[in-house]
This record gives sequence, structure tokens and C-alpha cells, in this order.
Amino acid sequence: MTGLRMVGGDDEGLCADGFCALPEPGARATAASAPSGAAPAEHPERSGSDVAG
Amino acid sequence: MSEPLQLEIWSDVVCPWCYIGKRRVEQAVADLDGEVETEITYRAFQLAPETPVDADGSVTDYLVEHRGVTHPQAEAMMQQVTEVASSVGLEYDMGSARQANTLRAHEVLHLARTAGRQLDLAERMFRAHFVEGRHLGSVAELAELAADIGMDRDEVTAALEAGTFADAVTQDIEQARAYGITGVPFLVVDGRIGVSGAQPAEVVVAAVRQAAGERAAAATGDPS
Repeated sequence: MTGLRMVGGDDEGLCADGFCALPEPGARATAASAPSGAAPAEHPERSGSDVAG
Repeated sequence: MSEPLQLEIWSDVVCPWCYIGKRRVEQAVADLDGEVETEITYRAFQLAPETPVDADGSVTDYLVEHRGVTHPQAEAMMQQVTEVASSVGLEYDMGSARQANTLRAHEVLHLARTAGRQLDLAERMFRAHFVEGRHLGSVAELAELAADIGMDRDEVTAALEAGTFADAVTQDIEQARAYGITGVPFLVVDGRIGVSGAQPAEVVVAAVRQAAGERAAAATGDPS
């Protein structure tokens, strides 16, 4: 985490499934999939222990 | 303390753990019993930004098609999260939940924030998705849900058509990326302390007390 001190450890075991983390790279937003007026989301790739799922 | 301690929650309205996390944060605030004044803000995060605007499939189909799990695995995931939800008083009907692109929902949550109604609308949206099988990608549905809590339906529709809060949503997502957030719910306390996942209320209480203590120490010039 950048600029944050973590409390409570990571969320391993709390949401260690595919529901609450970003999809793997390659399944990212495209301009065609987003509503007009809203920029497509861009997200970092998953890495480290702070990643659920 | 002059200013409430800020509890910013990065969340997606189709994230089952985010609704569970909402209950746990609410429990934490109740447990604090006024010891620390807090203000909760929901920040936008999209777990499935690739979802088409007009998507209308089931959560099972989404998991199988986009997360690489089998149907039995998807069913097991939904069963597990449903059981955890039940433990905090939420009765999920994951079978009726409909996958949606949530950008518009996040825009309406920002509109609700300007009216001081964001927490009520977040609750209404979570319930609509996880209990009632409503579609959170539909402008008409979003306007109706907002109207359910007393917001103006036409104002919601106009804000969505104009993209009034699109930049605010983008800023939330960019801030999440700057923090390195890749999963939600993710709580940021006073802009300094992070809590990842739907942690138990006592973890949230500890984070709030720590932040409050640090703020008090800074105010008195005590570096400890």
C-alpha cells in the first residue's frame, strides 16, 4: 500500500475468493464497455499479500 | 475533536463482501458509542470494469466466464458468502443477483453524497442487488432506487445523462490505484490507516482509535 499503514493484516480468509478483487490482467475495461461520459477504469495488476481472491 | 474522523470506504455495489463490510463498519461505529466522531464516505471501485453497460447475466455466469472458476466452484463461493452474510443479518439471494457495470451506480452515489444521503442509498443499492435481484446498471432502476430513499428521480436521470459525477467516480478509482487497492471493501481511516477486506468490527474500532490518538497527539505536538 502506498501512503497507508495497514491495520488488521490483509484480508486473506475474509474475502479470499473471486468476488472482491480485480480480475486478472487482460480482462480490463475498454472504452466500448463504459457508459458515455465516464472514463474506463484502470487498475494496477494484482500483486502482493494485499490482493484478495 | 473539531472535525470528524474520515472513514472512506472503497467499495463496489455488486461486491458481496462490501455489504458484509458495511455491516461490520456500522457495528464498529456503534461499538465506539460516540467515543470518536466519524464520517463515512463511500468511494467508487469497480471489480468488473469490463462488464458491458447492457450486461444482464447471472453472477455465476460472470464468475465462470471472467474469473476462470467452474460452475461448482462458483456455486460454492456464493454459498460461502451467503453464510457469512447471514451471520451479520443479511439474507442474500445470490441466485437472483444480476451482473452489472456499476459506473452509473457510483455516479448516483456521488450525487447522493451531495444531498447527505449516500449511506442510505448505498444500503438501498446493496439490498436491491443482493436480496431483490434488481439491476444496478439500469438508469431507470437506479432512479427508482434513489427515489425510494427520497431523492428526486428526474435529478438522478439528468445527472446520469450529463455525466455530472463521472469525474468524481474516476477520481475515486484513480485514488484507489494510487493507494494500491486491488480488492474491496477497503477502508481508509483519516487518509492514513488502511483496513483491507470486511474485517471484524473490533479491527475497525482499533484503527479508528489509533487514528484518533495520532490526530490528538499531532494537535498537542506530542510525536509519540
